[in-house]
Amino acid sequence: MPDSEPRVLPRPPLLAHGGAGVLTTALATLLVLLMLAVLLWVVAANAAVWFWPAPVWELELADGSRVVGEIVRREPARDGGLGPLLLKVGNRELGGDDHLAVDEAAIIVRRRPQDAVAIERSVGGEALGRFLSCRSLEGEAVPPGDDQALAAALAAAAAERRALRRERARHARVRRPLTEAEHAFERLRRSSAADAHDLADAERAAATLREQLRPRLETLEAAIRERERRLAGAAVILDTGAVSLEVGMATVERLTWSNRLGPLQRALHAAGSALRFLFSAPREANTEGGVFPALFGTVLMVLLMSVAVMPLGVLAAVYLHEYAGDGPLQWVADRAIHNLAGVPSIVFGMFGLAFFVYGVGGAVDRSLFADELPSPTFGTGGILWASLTLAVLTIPVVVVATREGLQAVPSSWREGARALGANRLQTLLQIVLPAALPGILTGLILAISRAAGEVAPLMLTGAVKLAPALPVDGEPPFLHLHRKFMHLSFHVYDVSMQSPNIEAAKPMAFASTLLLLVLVVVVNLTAILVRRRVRAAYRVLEG
Amino acid sequence: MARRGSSERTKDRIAAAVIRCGGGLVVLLVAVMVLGITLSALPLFLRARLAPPSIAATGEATLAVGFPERSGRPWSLDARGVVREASGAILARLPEVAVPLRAAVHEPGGLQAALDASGLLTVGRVRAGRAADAPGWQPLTTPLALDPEVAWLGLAVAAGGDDDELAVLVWSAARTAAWSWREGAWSELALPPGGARAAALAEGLATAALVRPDGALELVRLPDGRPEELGLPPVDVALVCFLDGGRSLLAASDDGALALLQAQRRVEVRNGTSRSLRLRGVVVEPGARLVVPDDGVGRTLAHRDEVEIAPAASQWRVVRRPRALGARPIALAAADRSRGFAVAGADGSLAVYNATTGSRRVATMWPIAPLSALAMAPRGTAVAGLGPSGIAFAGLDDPHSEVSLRTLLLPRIYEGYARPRLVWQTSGGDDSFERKLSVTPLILGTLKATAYAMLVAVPLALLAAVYVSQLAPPRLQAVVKPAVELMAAVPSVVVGFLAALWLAPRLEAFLLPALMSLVALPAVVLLALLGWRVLPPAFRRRTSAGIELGLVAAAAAAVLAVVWWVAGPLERLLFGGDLTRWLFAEWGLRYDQRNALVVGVALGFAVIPVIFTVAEDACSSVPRSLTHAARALGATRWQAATRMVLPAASPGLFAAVFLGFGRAVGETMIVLMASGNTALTGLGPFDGMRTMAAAIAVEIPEAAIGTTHYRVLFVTGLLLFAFSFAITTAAGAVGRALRSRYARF
Repeated sequence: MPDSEPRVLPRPPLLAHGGAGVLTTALATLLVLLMLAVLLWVVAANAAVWFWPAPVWELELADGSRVVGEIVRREPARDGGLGPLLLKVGNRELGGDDHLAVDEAAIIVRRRPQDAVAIERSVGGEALGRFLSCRSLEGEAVPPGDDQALAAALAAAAAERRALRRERARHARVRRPLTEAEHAFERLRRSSAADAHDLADAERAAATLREQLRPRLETLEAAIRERERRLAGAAVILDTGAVSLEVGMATVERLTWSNRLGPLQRALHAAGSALRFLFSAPREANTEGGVFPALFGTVLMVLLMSVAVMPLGVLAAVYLHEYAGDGPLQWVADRAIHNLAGVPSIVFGMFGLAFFVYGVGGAVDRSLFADELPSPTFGTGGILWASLTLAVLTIPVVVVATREGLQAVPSSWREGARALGANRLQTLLQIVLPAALPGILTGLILAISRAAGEVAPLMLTGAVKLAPALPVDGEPPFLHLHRKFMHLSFHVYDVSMQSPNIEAAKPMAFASTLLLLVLVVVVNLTAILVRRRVRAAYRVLEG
Repeated sequence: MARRGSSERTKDRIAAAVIRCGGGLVVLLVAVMVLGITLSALPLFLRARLAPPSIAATGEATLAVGFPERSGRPWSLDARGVVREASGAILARLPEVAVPLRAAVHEPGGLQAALDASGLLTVGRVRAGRAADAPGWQPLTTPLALDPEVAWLGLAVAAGGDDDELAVLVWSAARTAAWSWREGAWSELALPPGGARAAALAEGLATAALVRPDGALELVRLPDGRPEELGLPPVDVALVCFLDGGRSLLAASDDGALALLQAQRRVEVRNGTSRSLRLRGVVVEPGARLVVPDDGVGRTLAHRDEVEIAPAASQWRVVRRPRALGARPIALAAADRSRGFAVAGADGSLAVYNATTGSRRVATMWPIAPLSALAMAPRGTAVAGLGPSGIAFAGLDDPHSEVSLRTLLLPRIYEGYARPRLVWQTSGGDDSFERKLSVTPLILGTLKATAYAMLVAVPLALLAAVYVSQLAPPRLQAVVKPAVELMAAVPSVVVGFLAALWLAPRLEAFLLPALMSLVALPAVVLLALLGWRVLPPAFRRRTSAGIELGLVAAAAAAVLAVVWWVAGPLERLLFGGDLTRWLFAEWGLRYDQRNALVVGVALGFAVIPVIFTVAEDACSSVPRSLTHAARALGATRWQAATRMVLPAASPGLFAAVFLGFGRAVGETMIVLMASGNTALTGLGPFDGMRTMAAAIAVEIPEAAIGTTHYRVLFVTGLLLFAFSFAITTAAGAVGRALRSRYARF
C-alpha cells in the first residue's frame, strides 16, 4: 500500500507494491494485541463479577419446583442456539453440588425477591435463599421485617464468635507449657538413646504441670463450651426453594440482602469483598476466603530473594563492566550469565531441590537438628530455599539491568574522577554507582516481577497449597526460615488445577489471577518508567 | 596524609578483590548448578558393583540355597533337612525327614520344598524373625507321597494367587507330574506326557515350562494342561526359570544363549463391515476372523459397532536375547522384585542381567565351581552360589539396573506389549509392575508443544516486528512496544490457567468456527485490500500510514462475523452438528480438551514477546539511512522493508527465533496446565502431550531422593539444561556469523 504511488495511476493493481504484505504485517500486529487484550479482559471481567454482588433470582420451573440462586453465566451451546443457564445455588450441605444448570425454556417465572439473602459462611460455602426468620443467641425468634432486631442478633452472634475465638486462643496459650512438656516427653520416648530415669523425670514434669494447670484450664473449657452452646442454638432460617434451611450463626461471616442494595451500597460491598479477599485467610480448600497468607508469603520470599540476589548481581555486573579486562574469567563469567538467562526455570527448581534442600538442608539437619530426624527441618522445602533458588534464577536479570545502568554512565565522568585523583573504589562508590542506581533499581524491580510470577521452581522448593503457619509470627526466633509458605502464583495454579469443585474455585482463581496480574503489571510499569526517565536524563547529560 | 592514602589504596585493593570474587562466584554458581544436576543423574549409568564374595563352608550334601526377605546373607538346606544361616547357625529343621533328602529347592518368595528318599515331598517356609519369636520350619502343606521308584531329577514349587494356594512340579527323564495344594488337599494337575530335563512353575500358577530331554521347550497352561502357543522358540534349552511374577520366562540353551520370552495377549477380530480393516500392518478382509496381537486394537476399534473383538489364547515369544554366556549354563536364579536374574556357567563364570533392559550388569568368575544351585536376593541386592565346598555369596550394588541409554531413548517391548513402544509410565498398581522409563515420549512431547507454539508465534511475532519497526507510525509504536513488554511480564501461570479453564472448553465447543477463522485469515487481507481500493484517493493520501491497522481490524470483524454465521449451519449440515464427535466416529480421532492447539496458542502467547522484542530491536537498529536511500530511489515502504531491512536484520531475526524456541522448550506451567499431561507420542493437533519440564514439575515431588525415577527426571533436567545452553550459544553464533556476512550494509 504505497503512499508514494504515482498520481497518474489512482487505482494500482490489487496485489502490487506489497500492499498485501503491509496488510499482513498489520494483521499480525492486530492479532498480537488482540491476544493480550482478550487475556486482560477475561481476567478482569471474571474477577470483577466475583467482587460485585450479584442479584439473587427466584425461578419457578415448568415442573413446579422453585430454585433460588445467582445466575453465573450462560453455558456455551452448539449450533448457535442458547445454552443452559448456570445457576449458583450455594447451600452445599443440601445436594453436594452448589451449581445447577437450568434450561431457559423450563423457566416460567423469574423474579428478584426483596427478602433474598446471600450468606457468606466460614464453613460450607455460601448459603442462598429467601429470609424466613432468625433465632437469636437467647433463642428468641426474630420475625421477618424487623431488620433492626435481625441486625442486633447478627451483631451479638458476631461478638460471641469473636469472644469464643479469643477464649480458645487463651486456652491454647495457657496450655502451651503443658503441650511443650508432653512433646518433650514424646520425643524422649521415641529416641533410642533415652535412659529410663530421664524418661520418668519428663513424665513426672508433665504430670505436675497438668495438675497445676487443671483448674484454670477447666474454667476456660467450661466457658468455651457455654459459648459454643449459645452459638449452636442461633440460626438464620432460609427458604431455598425446596426446603427451609437453618444456617447456624456460628458460621455466618457476612449476610447480604442482595436485591436491596443500591448502586453505592453495591460498590461498598464490592470494596468490602476486595478487602476481605486481600486480608483474610483461605477457607474451604482455598476456594473461598482470602489470599492473605499467599500475599504475605510472596512478599516475604521476594524480600529474602532480593537480599540474596542484589549484592551478588551488582558485584557481578560491576566486575564485568568496570573491573574485568578481556581475561578468560571475564569471558567465562559473561557466557555464564548469558546462558543462565536462557535456562528454564524448572531446571533452577531441580537445582534448588538437589543442592539447597537435599544437599545444604540435609547437612544442616544432620549437624544442628539431629534430634528431630528422621523428620526433616531444613532438609525439606522451605521459604529460605525457595528464596535462594529464585535468587539464582534472577541473577541474570539483575546483572543485565545493572550493566545497562553502568553503560549509561558517561565514561567522561569516570575519567574526570580519576583525573581528580580518586582511585577506582572512590570513583565507583561516589560517581558511578550513584549514577547507575536507576539501572540497579530496574534490575531489582524486574527480578521482583519475575519472582512474583514464577511457579515451577517454587513447587519443588517449598511452596504449598496451605501452610499451617506464616513464616513470621510471635514465637522466637520470629522469622522461621524453614517453614513452608504460600505463594500467590502457586495459589493460582493450585486453585485452578487442583480443586475438586472447579466451578466453586473459578471465582477465587480469577480474583487471585487479577491480583497477580495487577501486581506484576504495576511492578513492570514502574521499571519501564524508571528506565525511560533515566535514559532521558542521560541523553540530556551526554548531549 | 600518606597514611590515609595508603589505607585508601588498601581499601581499593580489597574492593577490587571482592568484586573479582563476585564475578568468580557467578561462574562458580553455574558450575555448581551443572555439577549438582549431573551428579544427581550420573549414578544411573554407573556399572554394577559386585562385592568380593565371601565363602561359607557347609556340611555334607547341601541341596538348596536361598535368601530371606530383606537380607544379603543366604540360607542353605542340607540333605538332613537342616536350614542354616551363612554363619552356620541352625535356623530350622524339617521334621519329616527320616532319610536323607534327595532334592530340595528354595524359590523366590521364601517357599522351600524338599523331597526325601522315600518319595515324601514337603513344602514349607522358614519363619525368619527377630531373636524373640523363634525361627523355625513352618509347614504349609501335608506331606505328599510321590512314587519312590521314579528317579526324580528336580522339583519346583510356586505360590498361587491366593494366600494358601501353591503347586509343586517334579520331573524325571521319563515323566513329569504336578500337584496343586488347595483348601487343605493335594490334587494332581494335568500335564502332557513325557519326561523333562528341566522345568519351572510360574508364580500365580498360570503356566508351567517343561524342557523335554531333547532340549525342546514346551509351555503348558495350568490347570487344564493345554499347550500354549510358542512363536519361534529357542532350541537346545538346558534350563528355564520364570521371572517377574511369572510374566516372563528365561530359557538358557546348551550353547550359553539366553532368551527372554513373554506372553502376548491376543484378540480375535471379526470384521463385520464391507471394507477390509487395516490394523497396524495386518489386513482383515470383510467377514473374516483373525487373531491379532492386542496392541490397543480394542481401544482404536471401540467406536465401530460392526467389528467384534474377543479375547484369544496368548502367545509366548522371544522378546529379548541377552548377551550369551560363554559356557554351558548350569544354574539360574531370579530376583523376584528387581527384574534381575543370574546365570552360572559350567566353567565357573557367573553373570547378572536385568530383564527390562536385557543388559548384562555383571560378569565374573565365581570362586567356587561347579555350582549346583544359585540364588538372588529378592531385591537383587546379593547373589549366592552353592558349590561342592560351600556357599559363596556377595552383595550386589546395582540400584538402577533397569535403566540404560537404550531403554531411555529407544522403543522397547515391555510386558504385555505386542511391539516395541516408547512409554513413560513410572508407577503402577503393584510391586511387580514394570516401570517404563523412556524419556523419548517426553522429548517428543516437548518438541511437539514447541512446534505448535512456534507455528503460532513465529509468523505473528516476526510480521508484527516488521510492521512496528518499519511500517507503523511512531504513535502506534509507542502503544505496541509497551503492550508487548506487558505481554512478556504476564506470569506463565496466568496464561496456563486461562488456556486450561477458559480457552480449552471454548475451543472444544467452537472448534469449527475457530478452524474456519484460521483458514479465513488471507480473506481478511484481501478484504482490507479491497477496502483500500474503494476508499477515495483523497482520503488515502490524507490519512497517516497507520490506517492499515484500522482497515484490517474492520475486515477481520467482517470476516469473523461471516464465519460465525456460517459455521453453525455448516456444522449441522456436514458434521451432524458436532465436529469433535464426527471426527471420532469417522476418523477415530480422539479430541482431548487440552490439546496441542490450546498449548500452541498459550505457549505462543508466551513466546511472542521474546521473538518480537529481539526482532524489533534488530529491525530498528538497521540504519535509517538505508531505508531512506531505498525510498528515494522509488522503492515502496514494503520494498524497502523486505529488500533492505530484512536481509540486514536477519541475524537478529534468527537469534529471535532461536531464543523463542529456547523459551518454549523450557516453559513449564503453561504446558503443565494446558496440555493434559499424558505422555503420548502422537503428533496430531487434537491430542495432548507431556513435556520434559511438566514431567519434572509433577513427578519430582513424588520421587524419593536417590531412586531411579528421581535420577531419570534429573536426566531430563540435564537434557533441558544442555538444550538451553546449546540454544543460547547457537543464537549468539548465528547472530555473529550472519552479522559478519551482512557487515557491508
